[in-house]
Amino acid sequence: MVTEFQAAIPAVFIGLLAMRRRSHENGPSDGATRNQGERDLMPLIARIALGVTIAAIPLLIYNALAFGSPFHIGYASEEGFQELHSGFFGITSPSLSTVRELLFGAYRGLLPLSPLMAAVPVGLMLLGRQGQAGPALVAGGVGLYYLLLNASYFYWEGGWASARGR
Amino acid sequence: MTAALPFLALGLAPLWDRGRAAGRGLLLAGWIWGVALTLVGVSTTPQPPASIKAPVRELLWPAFRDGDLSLNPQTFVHNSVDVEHLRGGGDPHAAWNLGELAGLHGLPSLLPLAFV
Repeated sequence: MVTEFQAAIPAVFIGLLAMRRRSHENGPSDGATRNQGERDLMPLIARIALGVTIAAIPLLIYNALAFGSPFHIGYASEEGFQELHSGFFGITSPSLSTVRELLFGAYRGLLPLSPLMAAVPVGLMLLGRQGQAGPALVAGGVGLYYLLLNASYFYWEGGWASARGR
Repeated sequence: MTAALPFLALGLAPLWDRGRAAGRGLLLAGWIWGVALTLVGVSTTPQPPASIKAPVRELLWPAFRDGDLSLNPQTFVHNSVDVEHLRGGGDPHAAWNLGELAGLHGLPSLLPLAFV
């Protein structure tokens, strides 16, 4: 997460899943046990916060040393890739034609390289019906997130590559 | 999309568990396809030039089929690559595999993979 900024969103998905599982481990709650449950979540939240802090410290130090401010993102100073200055660092709204290319295209398409992935939606639905709705939602959500993120990015093709890396 | 693959792969487990012989055969075929293309890609070049619009069909598979492996000619000090000379020994290759280090050429140079 130090440099793969876009991974922050899936990290939130995973953190929410971890908290949901922890709260469900404590069973159904009335008012008193709900307070207990919230207290039980605190160590988990503290560990997640510690992980985020460990990842953030080198980034903040690097930004401060390289750009003069811990909160200055390097991409904001990118030269030669003008579209990075449109939208949010080059991210605007998803393009249907890019979605099609990302899934089916001979240039960067996922399914021509890994047709196995076409079965994943059915598998995730089965997983959800087996009492694992949370992990199934997170897995599907992460996949959808990266698809839409790439489909919204001007430089979606990723340069010299055989598949879309991010 | 690569970062999402480990998450998406979770969906394959219940399919394998519930699949009958035919279903598992299809999953296995899909897995073999993916592994084979990965082998083709990493043994030739996982970073084909952006100007090639169908990298597997136009560069990776033909190069693999001909035993023209480790295509990347770009070293740390090279700023660019002449795309026209990627194949056929036009430019010296900077990439290598273990078999090539041992003196093997072409597809036999992939033999060390069998021992990994």
